[in-house]
Amino acid sequence: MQFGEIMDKIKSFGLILCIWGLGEVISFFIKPIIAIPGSIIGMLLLFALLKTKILKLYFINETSNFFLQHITLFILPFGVAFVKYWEVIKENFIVLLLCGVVSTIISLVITMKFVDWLMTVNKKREKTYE
Amino acid sequence: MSNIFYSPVFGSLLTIVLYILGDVIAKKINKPFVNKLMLAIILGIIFLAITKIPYDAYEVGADYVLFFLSPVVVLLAVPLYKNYKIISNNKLIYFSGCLFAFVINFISMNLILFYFELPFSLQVPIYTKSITGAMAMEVNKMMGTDATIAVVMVSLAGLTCGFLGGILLKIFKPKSTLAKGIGLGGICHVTGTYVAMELDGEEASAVASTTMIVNGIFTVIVLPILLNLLM
Repeated sequence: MQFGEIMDKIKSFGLILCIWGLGEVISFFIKPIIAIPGSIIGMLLLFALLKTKILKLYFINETSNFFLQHITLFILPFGVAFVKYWEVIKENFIVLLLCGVVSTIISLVITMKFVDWLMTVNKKREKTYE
Repeated sequence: MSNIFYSPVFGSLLTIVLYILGDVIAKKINKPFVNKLMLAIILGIIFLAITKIPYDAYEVGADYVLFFLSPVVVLLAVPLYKNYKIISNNKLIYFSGCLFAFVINFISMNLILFYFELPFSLQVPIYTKSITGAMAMEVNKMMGTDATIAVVMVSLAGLTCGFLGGILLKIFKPKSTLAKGIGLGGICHVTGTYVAMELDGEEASAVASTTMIVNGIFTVIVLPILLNLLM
Protein backbone atom coordinates (compact mmCIF):
# COMPACT_ATOMS: atom_id res chain seq x y z
CA MET A 1 0.00 0.00 0.00
CA GLN A 2 1.34 3.38 -1.00
CA PHE A 3 1.59 6.26 1.42
CA GLY A 4 -0.86 8.27 -0.68
CA GLU A 5 -3.50 5.54 -0.47
CA ILE A 6 -3.29 5.40 3.30
CA MET A 7 -3.53 9.17 3.45
CA ASP A 8 -6.70 9.03 1.31
CA LYS A 9 -8.26 6.55 3.73
CA ILE A 10 -7.41 8.76 6.69
CA LYS A 11 -8.94 11.72 4.91
CA SER A 12 -12.14 9.85 4.15
CA PHE A 13 -12.37 8.60 7.72
CA GLY A 14 -11.90 12.19 8.91
CA LEU A 15 -14.70 13.25 6.62
CA ILE A 16 -16.99 10.59 8.07
CA LEU A 17 -16.18 11.81 11.58
CA CYS A 18 -17.04 15.36 10.44
CA ILE A 19 -20.40 14.23 9.11
CA TRP A 20 -21.07 12.29 12.31
CA GLY A 21 -20.15 15.39 14.34
CA LEU A 22 -22.51 17.54 12.31
CA GLY A 23 -25.21 14.92 12.88
CA GLU A 24 -24.62 15.10 16.64
CA VAL A 25 -24.92 18.90 16.55
CA ILE A 26 -28.21 18.72 14.65
CA SER A 27 -29.41 15.95 16.96
CA PHE A 28 -28.70 18.22 19.96
CA PHE A 29 -30.72 21.09 18.54
CA ILE A 30 -33.77 19.09 17.47
CA LYS A 31 -33.88 17.10 20.70
CA PRO A 32 -36.78 19.13 22.18
CA ILE A 33 -38.90 18.24 19.13
CA ILE A 34 -37.78 14.72 18.23
CA ALA A 35 -35.00 12.48 19.53
CA ILE A 36 -32.92 11.00 16.71
CA PRO A 37 -29.37 9.67 17.31
CA GLY A 38 -26.63 11.83 15.77
CA SER A 39 -25.21 8.92 13.79
CA ILE A 40 -28.54 8.34 12.04
CA ILE A 41 -28.74 12.01 11.07
CA GLY A 42 -25.13 11.71 9.90
CA MET A 43 -26.16 8.79 7.73
CA LEU A 44 -28.98 10.79 6.14
CA LEU A 45 -26.54 13.67 5.55
CA LEU A 46 -24.02 11.36 3.89
CA PHE A 47 -26.76 9.92 1.70
CA ALA A 48 -27.83 13.43 0.69
CA LEU A 49 -24.23 14.37 -0.12
CA LEU A 50 -23.82 11.27 -2.30
CA LYS A 51 -27.17 11.72 -4.00
CA THR A 52 -26.51 15.36 -4.89
CA LYS A 53 -23.05 14.33 -6.19
CA ILE A 54 -21.34 16.85 -3.90
CA LEU A 55 -19.38 13.88 -2.57
CA LYS A 56 -18.20 11.28 -5.06
CA LEU A 57 -18.62 7.62 -4.16
CA TYR A 58 -15.01 6.65 -4.92
CA PHE A 59 -13.78 8.93 -2.15
CA ILE A 60 -15.31 6.86 0.65
CA ASN A 61 -15.97 3.56 -1.16
CA GLU A 62 -12.99 1.61 0.18
CA THR A 63 -13.29 2.93 3.71
CA SER A 64 -16.96 2.01 3.79
CA ASN A 65 -16.26 -1.47 2.40
CA PHE A 66 -13.71 -2.06 5.13
CA PHE A 67 -15.97 -0.98 7.98
CA LEU A 68 -19.17 -2.55 6.70
CA GLN A 69 -17.53 -5.92 6.07
CA HIS A 70 -16.49 -6.02 9.69
CA ILE A 71 -19.60 -4.50 11.20
CA THR A 72 -19.99 -7.41 13.64
CA LEU A 73 -16.63 -6.61 15.24
CA PHE A 74 -18.06 -3.36 16.55
CA ILE A 75 -21.18 -4.99 18.00
CA LEU A 76 -19.28 -7.84 19.64
CA PRO A 77 -18.60 -6.14 23.02
CA PHE A 78 -22.35 -5.72 23.57
CA GLY A 79 -22.78 -9.43 23.01
CA VAL A 80 -20.14 -10.33 25.57
CA ALA A 81 -21.97 -8.06 28.04
CA PHE A 82 -24.48 -10.94 28.10
CA VAL A 83 -22.60 -12.07 31.22
CA LYS A 84 -23.57 -8.88 33.00
CA TYR A 85 -27.28 -9.24 32.24
CA TRP A 86 -27.56 -13.00 32.62
CA GLU A 87 -29.90 -12.75 35.64
CA VAL A 88 -32.38 -10.49 33.81
CA ILE A 89 -32.34 -12.70 30.73
CA LYS A 90 -32.84 -15.87 32.79
CA GLU A 91 -35.88 -14.40 34.52
CA ASN A 92 -37.62 -13.52 31.25
CA PHE A 93 -36.16 -16.27 29.12
CA ILE A 94 -39.39 -17.73 27.70
CA VAL A 95 -40.92 -14.38 26.75
CA LEU A 96 -37.71 -13.27 25.06
CA LEU A 97 -37.53 -16.55 23.17
CA LEU A 98 -41.17 -16.29 22.08
CA CYS A 99 -40.70 -12.71 20.88
CA GLY A 100 -37.50 -13.58 19.07
CA VAL A 101 -38.68 -16.71 17.29
CA VAL A 102 -42.48 -16.68 16.94
CA SER A 103 -42.80 -13.00 16.09
CA THR A 104 -39.99 -13.28 13.53
CA ILE A 105 -41.66 -16.19 11.75
CA ILE A 106 -45.10 -14.57 11.72
CA SER A 107 -43.80 -11.20 10.54
CA LEU A 108 -41.58 -12.72 7.85
CA VAL A 109 -44.36 -14.79 6.29
CA ILE A 110 -47.01 -12.08 6.44
CA THR A 111 -44.70 -9.39 5.05
CA MET A 112 -43.67 -11.53 2.07
CA LYS A 113 -47.29 -12.42 1.33
CA PHE A 114 -48.30 -8.77 1.62
CA VAL A 115 -45.67 -7.57 -0.86
CA ASP A 116 -46.65 -10.34 -3.27
CA TRP A 117 -50.26 -9.27 -3.01
CA LEU A 118 -49.24 -5.65 -3.67
CA MET A 119 -47.35 -6.75 -6.78
CA THR A 120 -50.36 -8.60 -8.21
CA VAL A 121 -52.65 -5.67 -7.45
CA ASN A 122 -50.19 -3.36 -9.16
CA LYS A 123 -49.99 -5.58 -12.24
CA LYS A 124 -53.77 -5.74 -12.55
CA ARG A 125 -53.99 -1.96 -12.26
CA GLU A 126 -51.36 -1.49 -14.95
CA LYS A 127 -53.29 -3.83 -17.24
CA THR A 128 -56.52 -1.91 -16.85
CA TYR A 129 -54.73 1.32 -17.71
CA GLU A 130 -53.32 -0.24 -20.83
CA MET B 1 -1.14 -8.31 38.43
CA SER B 2 -4.90 -8.04 38.04
CA ASN B 3 -4.45 -4.38 37.13
CA ILE B 4 -3.24 -5.40 33.69
CA PHE B 5 -6.75 -6.57 32.87
CA TYR B 6 -8.10 -3.14 33.66
CA SER B 7 -5.91 -1.51 31.01
CA PRO B 8 -7.65 -0.70 27.69
CA VAL B 9 -5.36 -3.08 25.84
CA PHE B 10 -6.94 -6.19 27.37
CA GLY B 11 -10.53 -5.55 26.31
CA SER B 12 -9.76 -4.31 22.84
CA LEU B 13 -7.28 -7.09 22.13
CA LEU B 14 -9.69 -9.75 23.41
CA THR B 15 -12.45 -8.35 21.19
CA ILE B 16 -10.28 -8.58 18.09
CA VAL B 17 -8.99 -12.08 18.95
CA LEU B 18 -12.57 -13.30 19.55
CA TYR B 19 -13.66 -11.79 16.23
CA ILE B 20 -10.85 -13.52 14.33
CA LEU B 21 -11.55 -16.86 16.04
CA GLY B 22 -15.26 -16.53 15.33
CA ASP B 23 -14.54 -15.76 11.69
CA VAL B 24 -12.17 -18.73 11.25
CA ILE B 25 -14.56 -21.20 12.90
CA ALA B 26 -17.60 -19.88 11.02
CA LYS B 27 -15.73 -20.32 7.73
CA LYS B 28 -14.83 -23.91 8.69
CA ILE B 29 -18.44 -24.83 9.50
CA ASN B 30 -19.83 -22.76 6.61
CA LYS B 31 -23.61 -22.95 7.25
CA PRO B 32 -25.98 -19.94 6.99
CA PHE B 33 -27.25 -20.35 10.56
CA VAL B 34 -23.76 -20.28 12.08
CA ASN B 35 -22.59 -16.71 12.21
CA LYS B 36 -19.29 -15.41 13.44
CA LEU B 37 -20.86 -12.92 15.82
CA MET B 38 -22.66 -15.68 17.70
CA LEU B 39 -19.55 -17.86 17.87
CA ALA B 40 -17.37 -14.96 19.02
CA ILE B 41 -19.87 -14.02 21.74
CA ILE B 42 -20.04 -17.59 23.03
CA LEU B 43 -16.24 -17.85 23.04
CA GLY B 44 -15.97 -14.54 24.89
CA ILE B 45 -18.45 -15.57 27.56
CA ILE B 46 -16.69 -18.90 28.07
CA PHE B 47 -13.31 -17.17 28.26
CA LEU B 48 -14.44 -14.65 30.87
CA ALA B 49 -16.18 -17.39 32.87
CA ILE B 50 -13.13 -19.69 32.93
CA THR B 51 -10.50 -17.05 33.68
CA LYS B 52 -12.82 -15.33 36.21
CA ILE B 53 -11.80 -11.91 34.87
CA PRO B 54 -14.54 -9.46 35.91
CA TYR B 55 -16.67 -8.01 33.13
CA ASP B 56 -15.78 -4.48 34.27
CA ALA B 57 -12.18 -5.11 33.24
CA TYR B 58 -13.24 -6.18 29.75
CA GLU B 59 -15.52 -3.17 29.43
CA VAL B 60 -12.61 -0.69 29.77
CA GLY B 61 -11.09 -1.85 26.49
CA ALA B 62 -14.36 -2.76 24.82
CA ASP B 63 -15.49 0.86 24.97
CA TYR B 64 -12.71 1.74 22.52
CA VAL B 65 -14.09 -0.73 20.01
CA LEU B 66 -17.65 0.51 20.54
CA PHE B 67 -16.55 4.01 19.60
CA PHE B 68 -16.45 2.91 15.95
CA LEU B 69 -20.09 1.86 15.95
CA SER B 70 -21.38 5.36 15.21
CA PRO B 71 -19.14 6.01 12.15
CA VAL B 72 -20.23 2.59 10.87
CA VAL B 73 -23.87 3.64 11.14
CA VAL B 74 -23.04 6.80 9.19
CA LEU B 75 -21.43 4.63 6.51
CA LEU B 76 -24.62 2.60 6.05
CA ALA B 77 -25.58 5.43 3.69
CA VAL B 78 -23.21 3.95 1.09
CA PRO B 79 -25.07 0.65 0.43
CA LEU B 80 -28.29 2.63 0.50
CA TYR B 81 -26.93 4.89 -2.24
CA LYS B 82 -25.56 2.00 -4.30
CA ASN B 83 -28.86 0.12 -4.30
CA TYR B 84 -31.07 3.17 -4.66
CA LYS B 85 -32.09 2.19 -8.20
CA ILE B 86 -33.96 -0.87 -6.97
CA ILE B 87 -36.04 1.27 -4.66
CA SER B 88 -36.80 4.00 -7.15
CA ASN B 89 -38.21 1.50 -9.68
CA ASN B 90 -41.03 0.46 -7.37
CA LYS B 91 -41.20 3.30 -4.88
CA LEU B 92 -44.76 2.86 -3.72
CA ILE B 93 -44.66 -0.91 -3.31
CA TYR B 94 -41.23 -0.76 -1.73
CA PHE B 95 -42.08 1.78 0.94
CA SER B 96 -45.45 0.29 1.77
CA GLY B 97 -43.65 -3.05 2.13
CA CYS B 98 -41.12 -1.54 4.53
CA LEU B 99 -43.84 0.19 6.50
CA PHE B 100 -45.81 -3.04 6.65
CA ALA B 101 -42.77 -4.97 7.89
CA PHE B 102 -42.36 -2.48 10.72
CA VAL B 103 -46.06 -2.46 11.63
CA ILE B 104 -46.52 -6.23 11.57
CA ASN B 105 -43.42 -6.65 13.69
CA PHE B 106 -44.75 -4.16 16.21
CA ILE B 107 -48.20 -5.77 16.32
CA SER B 108 -46.98 -9.35 16.63
CA MET B 109 -44.71 -8.29 19.47
CA ASN B 110 -47.55 -6.50 21.19
CA LEU B 111 -49.71 -9.61 20.93
CA ILE B 112 -47.06 -11.60 22.76
CA LEU B 113 -46.52 -8.86 25.34
CA PHE B 114 -50.27 -8.76 25.87
CA TYR B 115 -50.13 -12.24 27.38
CA PHE B 116 -46.77 -11.99 29.12
CA GLU B 117 -45.50 -9.39 31.55
CA LEU B 118 -42.20 -7.76 30.75
CA PRO B 119 -40.49 -4.76 32.36
CA PHE B 120 -40.19 -1.65 30.18
CA SER B 121 -36.39 -1.83 30.15
CA LEU B 122 -36.75 -5.10 28.22
CA GLN B 123 -39.50 -3.96 25.88
CA VAL B 124 -37.49 -1.48 23.84
CA PRO B 125 -34.75 -4.01 23.02
CA ILE B 126 -37.47 -6.41 21.88
CA TYR B 127 -39.03 -3.93 19.48
CA THR B 128 -35.64 -3.28 17.91
CA LYS B 129 -34.97 -6.95 17.18
CA SER B 130 -35.61 -6.77 13.45
CA ILE B 131 -33.23 -3.94 12.56
CA THR B 132 -29.51 -4.21 12.10
CA GLY B 133 -27.44 -4.52 15.28
CA ALA B 134 -25.58 -1.22 15.00
CA MET B 135 -28.79 0.77 14.64
CA ALA B 136 -30.53 -1.16 17.39
CA MET B 137 -27.67 -0.14 19.70
CA GLU B 138 -28.20 3.52 18.85
CA VAL B 139 -31.92 3.38 19.62
CA ASN B 140 -31.34 1.63 22.91
CA LYS B 141 -28.55 3.98 23.94
CA MET B 142 -30.84 6.91 23.24
CA MET B 143 -33.77 5.46 25.17
CA GLY B 144 -31.53 4.38 28.02
CA THR B 145 -32.29 0.67 27.84
CA ASP B 146 -30.02 -2.40 27.79
CA ALA B 147 -28.17 -2.62 24.52
CA THR B 148 -27.11 -6.14 25.46
CA ILE B 149 -30.64 -7.52 25.47
CA ALA B 150 -31.02 -5.87 22.07
CA VAL B 151 -27.99 -7.79 20.77
CA VAL B 152 -29.49 -11.01 22.14
CA MET B 153 -32.82 -10.29 20.45
CA VAL B 154 -31.22 -9.21 17.19
CA SER B 155 -29.16 -12.42 17.09
CA LEU B 156 -32.22 -14.47 17.96
CA ALA B 157 -34.17 -13.00 15.04
CA GLY B 158 -31.18 -13.63 12.80
CA LEU B 159 -30.81 -17.21 14.02
CA THR B 160 -34.50 -17.96 13.45
CA CYS B 161 -34.18 -16.70 9.92
CA GLY B 162 -30.96 -18.63 9.32
CA PHE B 163 -32.50 -21.87 10.54
CA LEU B 164 -36.03 -21.54 9.21
CA GLY B 165 -35.78 -18.94 6.40
CA GLY B 166 -35.21 -21.52 3.68
CA ILE B 167 -38.02 -23.78 4.90
CA LEU B 168 -40.48 -20.88 5.26
CA LEU B 169 -39.71 -19.72 1.74
CA LYS B 170 -40.34 -23.22 0.44
CA ILE B 171 -43.66 -23.59 2.26
CA PHE B 172 -45.15 -20.16 1.56
CA LYS B 173 -43.55 -19.58 -1.86
CA PRO B 174 -43.32 -15.79 -2.25
CA LYS B 175 -43.29 -15.10 -5.98
CA SER B 176 -41.45 -11.84 -6.53
CA THR B 177 -37.85 -11.02 -5.72
CA LEU B 178 -39.06 -7.83 -4.08
CA ALA B 179 -41.23 -9.80 -1.64
CA LYS B 180 -38.35 -12.04 -0.61
CA GLY B 181 -35.99 -9.09 -0.26
CA ILE B 182 -38.32 -6.93 1.80
CA GLY B 183 -39.41 -9.81 4.02
CA LEU B 184 -35.93 -11.13 4.73
CA GLY B 185 -34.24 -7.73 5.02
CA GLY B 186 -37.01 -6.03 6.93
CA ILE B 187 -37.50 -8.76 9.51
CA CYS B 188 -34.17 -10.59 9.71
CA HIS B 189 -31.67 -7.79 8.97
CA VAL B 190 -28.13 -8.95 8.04
CA THR B 191 -28.87 -12.67 8.22
CA GLY B 192 -31.78 -11.98 5.90
CA THR B 193 -29.44 -10.54 3.30
CA TYR B 194 -27.27 -13.68 3.44
CA VAL B 195 -30.30 -15.97 3.19
CA ALA B 196 -31.68 -13.88 0.31
CA MET B 197 -28.34 -14.14 -1.48
CA GLU B 198 -28.34 -17.90 -1.10
CA LEU B 199 -31.95 -18.56 -2.06
CA ASP B 200 -32.62 -15.94 -4.70
CA GLY B 201 -29.39 -14.25 -5.70
CA GLU B 202 -27.81 -10.84 -5.89
CA GLU B 203 -30.91 -8.73 -6.51
CA ALA B 204 -32.91 -10.08 -3.57
CA SER B 205 -29.89 -9.54 -1.38
CA ALA B 206 -29.56 -5.93 -2.51
CA VAL B 207 -33.26 -5.33 -1.83
CA ALA B 208 -32.82 -6.93 1.58
CA SER B 209 -29.87 -4.76 2.53
CA THR B 210 -31.64 -1.51 1.59
CA THR B 211 -34.81 -2.63 3.36
CA MET B 212 -32.76 -3.35 6.45
CA ILE B 213 -31.49 0.25 6.48
CA VAL B 214 -34.76 1.95 5.50
CA ASN B 215 -36.62 -0.08 8.11
CA GLY B 216 -33.92 0.86 10.62
CA ILE B 217 -34.31 4.59 9.98
CA PHE B 218 -38.02 4.14 10.25
CA THR B 219 -37.77 2.32 13.57
CA VAL B 220 -35.35 4.87 15.00
CA ILE B 221 -37.70 7.74 14.24
CA VAL B 222 -41.11 6.20 14.82
CA LEU B 223 -40.56 3.78 17.70
CA PRO B 224 -39.85 6.37 20.44
CA ILE B 225 -42.93 8.35 19.39
CA LEU B 226 -45.11 5.24 19.33
CA LEU B 227 -43.89 4.05 22.73
CA ASN B 228 -44.46 7.51 24.18
CA LEU B 229 -48.04 7.49 22.95
CA LEU B 230 -48.75 4.01 24.26
CA MET B 231 -47.16 4.35 27.69
